[in-house]
Amino acid sequence: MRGSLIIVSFFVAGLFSALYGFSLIPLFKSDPSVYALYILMFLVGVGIGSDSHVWTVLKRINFEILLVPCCVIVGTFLGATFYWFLTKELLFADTLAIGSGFGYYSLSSIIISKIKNETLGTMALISNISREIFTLVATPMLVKFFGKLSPIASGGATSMDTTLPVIAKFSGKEYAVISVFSGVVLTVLVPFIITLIYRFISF
Amino acid sequence: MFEILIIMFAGMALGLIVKNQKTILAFTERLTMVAIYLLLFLLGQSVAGNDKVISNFAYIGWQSFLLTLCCIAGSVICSYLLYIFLFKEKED
Repeated sequence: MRGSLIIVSFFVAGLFSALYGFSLIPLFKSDPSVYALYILMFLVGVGIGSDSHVWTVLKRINFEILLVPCCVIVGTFLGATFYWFLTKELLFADTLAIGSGFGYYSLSSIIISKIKNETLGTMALISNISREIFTLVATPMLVKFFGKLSPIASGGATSMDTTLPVIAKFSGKEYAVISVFSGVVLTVLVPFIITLIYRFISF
Repeated sequence: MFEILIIMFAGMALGLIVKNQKTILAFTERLTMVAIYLLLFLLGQSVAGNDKVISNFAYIGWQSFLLTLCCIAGSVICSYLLYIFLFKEKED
């Protein structure tokens, strides 16, 4: 939670400093910030590659546990498609891409703002932060009505770290492993899924 | 934007190699946070220069929230089905 507050405050600081005249935009208009994204992606890669979590978790794969993150992806896509039919607010690709942050708001908002524009990047930020906050708040209720996997599904990529404590508490310790697994898989997949969506869906 | 995947793979390969170098890893972790802070600061800055976002901020916020609710609902329902059919019986 503290981490997300810091991250949001950087976004807000950027917003207000520019509104009140301190703008670095001309500096970055030529777009070296694309290189900042490249550096970030490289660093994220190093983080994943060196994470012993990721590799031990991958060894635990069995069919049932693998179905959990699959469920989250399919369910998220179905929900996003429903939203798209309901509002016709965004392009289908944008709707799916924002949903495919799975709560990983820092990376998804940055990638989407670079591939598309800052409006969609902001939506991805707000949307995916709310996914984390909703999960933190609603987990007890979710477990009661929709079973012990539901907060893991709701938490998406965050179920490996920020929402893990609350999930472990209400779903039980034996679900903590599944929670970490699902979160790791989704976290690793976020950049892939977003890029693939923009590559193959154009409406 | 396919290049970001290739760059990430390169990072993963390096990450595997330096897996046990604690100082390097601590350093990359810190650098990752700095890059994220910087990029989000810049995202905030470019949002400030975009009147469309600023004047519709509340609307955009609600749309984003509604989208998230739909995504959560979809995945919760899917996970509920999975829970009922595969996980629940094993508990008792």
